[in-house]
Amino acid sequence: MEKLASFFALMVLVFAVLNVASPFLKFAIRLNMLQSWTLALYVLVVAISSGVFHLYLSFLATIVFKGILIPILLFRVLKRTGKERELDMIMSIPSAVVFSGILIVISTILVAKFGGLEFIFGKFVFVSSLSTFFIGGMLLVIRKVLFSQILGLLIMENAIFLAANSAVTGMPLVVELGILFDIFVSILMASVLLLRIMKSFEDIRVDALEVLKE
Amino acid sequence: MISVPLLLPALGLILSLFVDVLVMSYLQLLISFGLFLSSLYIFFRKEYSTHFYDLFLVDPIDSFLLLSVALLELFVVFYSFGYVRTEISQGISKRRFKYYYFWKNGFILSMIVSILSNNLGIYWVGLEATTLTTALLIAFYRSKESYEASWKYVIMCSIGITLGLFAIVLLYYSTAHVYGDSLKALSFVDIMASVQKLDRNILFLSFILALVGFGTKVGFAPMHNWLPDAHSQAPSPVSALLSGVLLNTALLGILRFYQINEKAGIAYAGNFMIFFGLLTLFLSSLIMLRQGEYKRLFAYSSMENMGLIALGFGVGGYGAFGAILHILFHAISKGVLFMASGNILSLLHERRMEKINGLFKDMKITSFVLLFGLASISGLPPFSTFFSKLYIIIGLIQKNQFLGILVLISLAVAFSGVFWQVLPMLSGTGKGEREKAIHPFMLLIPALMLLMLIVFTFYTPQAVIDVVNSVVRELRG
Amino acid sequence: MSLLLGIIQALVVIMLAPFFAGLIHKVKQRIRGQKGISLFQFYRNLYKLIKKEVVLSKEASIVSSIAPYFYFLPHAILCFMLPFFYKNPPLGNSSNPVVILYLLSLPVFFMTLYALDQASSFGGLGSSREWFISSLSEPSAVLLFFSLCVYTGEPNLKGVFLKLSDELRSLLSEGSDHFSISIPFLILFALLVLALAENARIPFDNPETHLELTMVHEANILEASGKHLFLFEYGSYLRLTLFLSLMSMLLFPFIGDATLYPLAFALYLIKMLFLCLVVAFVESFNAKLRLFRVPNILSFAFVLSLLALVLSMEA
Repeated sequence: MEKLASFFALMVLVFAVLNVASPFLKFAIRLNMLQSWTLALYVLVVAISSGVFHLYLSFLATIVFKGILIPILLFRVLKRTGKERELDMIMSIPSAVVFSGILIVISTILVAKFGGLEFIFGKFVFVSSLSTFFIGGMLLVIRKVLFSQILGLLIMENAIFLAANSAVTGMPLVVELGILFDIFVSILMASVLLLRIMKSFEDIRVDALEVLKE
Repeated sequence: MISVPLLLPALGLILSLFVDVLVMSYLQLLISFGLFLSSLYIFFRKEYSTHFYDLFLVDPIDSFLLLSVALLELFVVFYSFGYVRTEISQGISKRRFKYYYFWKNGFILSMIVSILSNNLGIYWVGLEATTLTTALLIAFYRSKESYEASWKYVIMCSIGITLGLFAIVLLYYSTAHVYGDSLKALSFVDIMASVQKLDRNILFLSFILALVGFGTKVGFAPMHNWLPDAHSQAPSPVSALLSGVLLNTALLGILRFYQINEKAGIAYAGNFMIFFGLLTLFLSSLIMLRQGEYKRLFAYSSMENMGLIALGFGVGGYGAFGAILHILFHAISKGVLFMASGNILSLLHERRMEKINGLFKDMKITSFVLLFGLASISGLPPFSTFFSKLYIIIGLIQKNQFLGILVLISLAVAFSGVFWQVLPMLSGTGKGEREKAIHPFMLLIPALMLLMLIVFTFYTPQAVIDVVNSVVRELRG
Repeated sequence: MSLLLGIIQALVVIMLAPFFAGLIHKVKQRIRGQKGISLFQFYRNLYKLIKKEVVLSKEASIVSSIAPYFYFLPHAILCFMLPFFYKNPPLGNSSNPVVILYLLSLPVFFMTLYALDQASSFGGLGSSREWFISSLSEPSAVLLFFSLCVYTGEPNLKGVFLKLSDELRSLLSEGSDHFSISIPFLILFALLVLALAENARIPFDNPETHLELTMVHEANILEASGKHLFLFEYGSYLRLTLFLSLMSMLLFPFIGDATLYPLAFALYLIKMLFLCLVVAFVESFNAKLRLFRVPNILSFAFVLSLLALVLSMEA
């Protein structure tokens, strides 16, 4: 069971790295969806092994919100913006990928300093979630398309969900549902804004947004 | 009783969907008045306990923040009453305002949920909801600038709050050892009760994450990019709420973590508050020297004041005492400034300062309000902000003289930045009296608020002082 | 006895190499809807080549006449080093990861030298591209082998695979769970990418191309003929087989001793057939990448092997 759990945790990280390596928006959304599914599977494994009932609900909620609703929403927004072209980045893809490798090493070292924490399925799950978090943050910074800022945010949130299920069996259900709903609404809001920005700027690149200067 | 402040905005939220805007503006007056009365009741009853399965909590700082929200909200609602009518007469279509009250009530509701929450998870949910409900308010005028501001706001604040969530998850790691995986492990009261059993490294790390994460939403210095954009693009009444109370709501999250750290005996946590506060204060006061737009200038001034408040909490004692008072006074005086700038904007449709002059001739009352508002935000003596700032500075000097001097210099720079740039707007030849187009509420309310600030200087109710003192005691752990 | 069995193992692998390459080719052709070559066509090609005479350009130096042997020999030596299905390969004790890495990159060096030595314009083009890809895949190969060694705690690859095989057996018999899913998965994936990159397979290079401008591997041996071409072709089949075998040893590590020899061999064959199918499908369903996209995938493989190293240090 532990092997399976750490495998899913690993896949969450691998999908994040793959997201850095992929130059296409559509593929990036698909990867994000896969990441959410593996995250949900991880939660399921924790649920089965710990027998905590609310984790099953959290598994379902993750699948419904993150695995189905958000990808559908993102695909529709992408279709309506009509910009499915390649992603621009401020650094080349290989260097970004290697940089994410460095982030993985850094978070490994960081986690090694946490002596006092006990994890359900080993330290690696937390390493994976921490580095996924960093990689999500990196994606936010380096990509020059507004759309991928949403994706970066989603990756960071997936990482936090993984972290929340790494040392303890998830947050309390009330809180977890609230968080999921908030994330969903925030993606919805960002999509609405994105479409409006597309309408008035006719572009979704970060560079376009410099009307407001000091 | 605690359910009333939660129910009233929810009621407004639902009503606004079915009722015409102009009718809604009357109903909103009633709702906000009710909200104000209920928060006054909660404030003066001083009964501190948890409610609804420990999800919500009333403690001194909660009731104080709730009061400041309700007070500013009451003023803003009166101002909005005039604002909506003025804007409609200026040619903004009524349909645009259809969701104005909807989002505003949602905003107030989520803010109150955050403030009254005992469970840190609920606090997070409420804070994220404030971002979402205000996003479309910031993009209200549908200009390119406003979309850009709104996008930056949503993305940056979401990232910051995500960091805050990480802080909460980390805290949960250590508390789950004590309470197991239950709601109790996230309940602030329960965490405080068993703080000695928690892992101190994790506590400190979660404090740092919360400081950076929620600090983004407070507008601390390296993460402040969104703040001037969002606060300057929103409709002026909303700007007043954003600057006056939303920043404090985000600060409450940091304070919770700070309080836990203080109680756990991690003394150096306060130094980080001081660092961020000082950086914010110093940077924003420098930036204020070179601003082209008056609303942006006031937005930076909010940053400056948040830095000052964070400094006050960081040093504790007199500093914390002043900081708490300053939360209320800053909210009121920032409200005055944004309301005055709302008047100018809705008449002249001009954001840049160098293109405006002769306000004394054109808009007599507004320019007086603006002038005294500037005096109050700078902490000049007849206004009570003088005292709150004074207390903070006394606290700072007690801690470290050099720190106090640096803060005084920054305050002086900010003061000169504000006056040097705004005064030219007032003088010069005007184009004749134009203030008649503005609804009288828009002139009356800020003047009333200024009056209130002066009243607070000479008479502050003993109950307020008591509550503030108990907050200071609590913060010390 | 064990020496004999080891030599037989190496010879069998060397003999089978053209078959595996032919199989991949055939499957690809069938996927495209062609009838496809015979499975033994590649043997016939090789036989034809060995009979032909060698033609060298007049610029060629001594390098050209020795390079083909140095392309073939390291691969052949590698076949004597790895425990494909029998646990005692003749040179097993020297199967240090560093040695293996050098033996894998030595042929590339000589091949590109050969291409440059013939002074044809495509040779220079091909060799620079070959080094571009090969130098990018090198770091992940290094990390990958080292992470295997760290994971099992063995200094050479023979020991690594034997230990993995033992672990698998104990897993099957006793259900012990001292076995990681994640590390073999990562290494397999990274190896697959490396196998495609190092063997001029489709996302990186097309082995069947006739367009000189897009060639990488083929451009290097464009000038080779007769026996030299035989050595190059045979060497590249061996290289492919070696990479696939490395994967097969990780896929279901079952390495037998003398008694289990036939069973282990049969298993090896099945795994290799499966991997050939995988490679053929990957090649058929992907388009060739632009050369400047190649680093994207290779850097991804690098991060995967880095992750494997991190994981194996934890375990």
